[in-house]
Amino acid sequence: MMSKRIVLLANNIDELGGAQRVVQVLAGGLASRGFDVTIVGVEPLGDRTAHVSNAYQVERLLETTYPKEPGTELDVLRAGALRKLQAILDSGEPGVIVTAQVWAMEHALDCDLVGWRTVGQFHSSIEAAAFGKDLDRILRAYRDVDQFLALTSVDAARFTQAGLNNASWLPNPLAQWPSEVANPYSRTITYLGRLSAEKAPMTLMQAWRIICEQERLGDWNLDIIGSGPHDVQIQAAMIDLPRVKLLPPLADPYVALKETGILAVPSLIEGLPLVLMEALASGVSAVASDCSAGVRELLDEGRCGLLVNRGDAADLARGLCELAENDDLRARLGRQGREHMLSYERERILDQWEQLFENVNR
Amino acid sequence: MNVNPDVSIIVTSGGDLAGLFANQTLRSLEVVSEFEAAAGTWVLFAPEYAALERHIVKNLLLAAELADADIAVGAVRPYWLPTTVSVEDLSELSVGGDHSAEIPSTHVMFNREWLSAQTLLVTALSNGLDRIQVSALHEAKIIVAIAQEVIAPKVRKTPNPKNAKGSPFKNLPALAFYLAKLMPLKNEVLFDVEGGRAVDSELPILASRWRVEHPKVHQHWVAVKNRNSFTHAWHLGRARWLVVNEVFRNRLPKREGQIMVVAACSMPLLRVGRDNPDWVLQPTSERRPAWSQVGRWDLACVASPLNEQILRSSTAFMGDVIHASIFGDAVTAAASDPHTKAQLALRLERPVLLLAFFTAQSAPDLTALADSLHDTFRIVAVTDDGSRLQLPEGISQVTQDLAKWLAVSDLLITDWSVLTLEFGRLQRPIIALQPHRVDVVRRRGSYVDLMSVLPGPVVQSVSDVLSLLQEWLKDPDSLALFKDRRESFAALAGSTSGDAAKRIWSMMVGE
Repeated sequence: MMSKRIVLLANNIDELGGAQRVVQVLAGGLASRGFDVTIVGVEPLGDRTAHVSNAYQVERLLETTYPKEPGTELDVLRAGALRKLQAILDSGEPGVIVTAQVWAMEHALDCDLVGWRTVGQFHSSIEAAAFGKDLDRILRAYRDVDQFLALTSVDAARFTQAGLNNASWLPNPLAQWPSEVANPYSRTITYLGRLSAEKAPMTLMQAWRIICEQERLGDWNLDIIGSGPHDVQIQAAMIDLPRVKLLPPLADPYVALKETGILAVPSLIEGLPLVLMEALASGVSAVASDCSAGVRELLDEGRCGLLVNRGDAADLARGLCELAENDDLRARLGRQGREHMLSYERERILDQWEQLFENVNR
Repeated sequence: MNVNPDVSIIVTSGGDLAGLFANQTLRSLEVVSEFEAAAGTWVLFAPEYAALERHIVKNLLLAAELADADIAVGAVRPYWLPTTVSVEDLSELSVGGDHSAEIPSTHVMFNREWLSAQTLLVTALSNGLDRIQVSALHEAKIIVAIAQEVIAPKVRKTPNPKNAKGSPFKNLPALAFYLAKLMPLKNEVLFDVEGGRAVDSELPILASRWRVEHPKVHQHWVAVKNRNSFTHAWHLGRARWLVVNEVFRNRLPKREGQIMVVAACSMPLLRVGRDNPDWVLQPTSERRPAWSQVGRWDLACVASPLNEQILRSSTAFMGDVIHASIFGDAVTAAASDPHTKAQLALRLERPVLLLAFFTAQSAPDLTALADSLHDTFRIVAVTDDGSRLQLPEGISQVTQDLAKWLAVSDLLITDWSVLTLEFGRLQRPIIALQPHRVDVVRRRGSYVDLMSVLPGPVVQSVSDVLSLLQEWLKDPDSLALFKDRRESFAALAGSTSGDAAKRIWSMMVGE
């Protein structure tokens, strides 16, 4: 009889970001299917410990974040975190431990995992892993786990080339299926996400400048929704640009997507962007930079949106104009996108998770 | 021991079976000593000393189930990348890599029911047969092969202490860089450049003009003799702007807030690309320096549209790209001006031979060339870094009016100087002489097969050049073999306005 105990371990569980939302959606879904789920965050997010749930247990290993520099304080905190994680694991029969990030797995591997099955995830593309130090850490931490999960088959194949023989893939689920389709007459281009270098919101601002200089899309607006290290640059760039608004981040992206005509994803690095999935599910077509296998897969090689060159403002401007100026194309891509997103519905992905648990328990 | 295991591993050589293969990802397995005792749906024969990779049994099992096969063959690869093959094809797959028609028995998993009917094979395996003849599998319904062995690379367990501070220097320069990092950034432009005409020809002029307008902004040029010195490291740690052009040879550190500008990038090398499927297989020591270096660039000037495309698609790169060459339109304009030869005091009917070298050190002895051809050709030479060539009588080095000299030259002989792309736009013949940069491309890999796109032959010595030229003089069509390539090479070079230095400068200083 397969154990129904699942521990989902993440760097933190309180952020609004993609991986954290996926952990919460997964926890809720698995709990509704009779699994005994605990989600564990290694660190709190500043003072914020917002996430609570009745459907599953929520734990945090630390009450304060780790210091930035190595030293005795860090060692003591880490030892305490590992003791707490071990106590959580020992509080019931062994099951499956799923880590959302490699750092979380580095904690788990220092615990006694006898009897536990291990699944490690990486929520971005292999290019993103190779960009930082993650690839080496992934190869080190995930090589011996029962299953390593990438987001797409293309990424999984390349992780295999890099040395992981246990790689497979499983896309992230949509948090919820939007009940209504976005307003088809909306004349708003929306950017939803963190305002940071890898998301390249400044490329979108440059594209908007090109569009305005060409005196095109005069009846369209640009909404930048989010916050991050680039917000000052965005504000500076907005000064002489017409019809641009900078809005604070939203807990529910569907609120903004309901009034979105086109979603712009100018990112330099992505995995399988949740916001793109949510837009497509709402019937919003998208213009996204060709930056990962996940983006290509979501846009179904151009069937659900336009792919533009990564980091190329002129090409992004061209894509936005092409889509904005063609109502029929936008409607068709939006329709196809919504159909395509059916395969990312929560229940379908949860079926795949159940199959995965069966496999790792063999 | 599992009651109903998925897989039975049969160890016929005896010994203590407890704990064998306990490291396998698949737990639903048993280890038994004879085929008759096996209870698993699948069986795999292995000697007790077999070192099975941790995930192989599960990968074989899932592949076999997915394909509904009788036999699964493979070394190590995930189960979802299998191919179903015939016995004939299997012999070609060469699991052991030796193209033999035998497979190591540890790479073959059998459906137990199917194997029960193969009594001869069972007997042989039970007697310790360690390689299976492919022909013995011919009655299997389906064979699923996952036949590519992937060996996980060794992973460094501890960080390299030399790189811990992010400085490539040792001892005193490392200390200088460390100290400089403790201080605020200074309004200084550090020109850390080696050759590269985009920098050499115009940037110093622009820099000196700017110096007049902005006397508080300092400029520092790293001399070759000072490279990797205390002073070099000190300025690297303090300057707000870094202008570099040797992008892979010198791995430069960068601190937060610094702006790194790459002033020359002409080689379409694979190492910065994301669409090269093999880069992840390269050792970290090979991959990481180029990768991290590209990640530090804020602005890159590239000489061809292909390079622009490569950089833009590189996930390491997060900066801006300028596509501009040194001379660009100035060369084509001079080529269409009938007075250009006169402006250079050249005889109209005398052909011009241009020799362009990366640096003086890479130029061969040109005496034989001068002796044989100086009556026929006007021969001029140029180096990318401006270094002085030791030239025989009959060949002169030029440093001024390079756009015009390119325009009037009938043929270029080069070791892949940066002028190759400029000259390529004119669609005239090029002979590559011992191109050391071509070797660099061969070693590192390139997005284009350089040897097959160059609009001319690649030769190894001056005597080869001589014979080619003598033949060309007799028959101008002798290099026609490469005529078709001239157009495609010109397209590869792309057209640019040729104001690289100005554009770099204006983007750098925001003017």
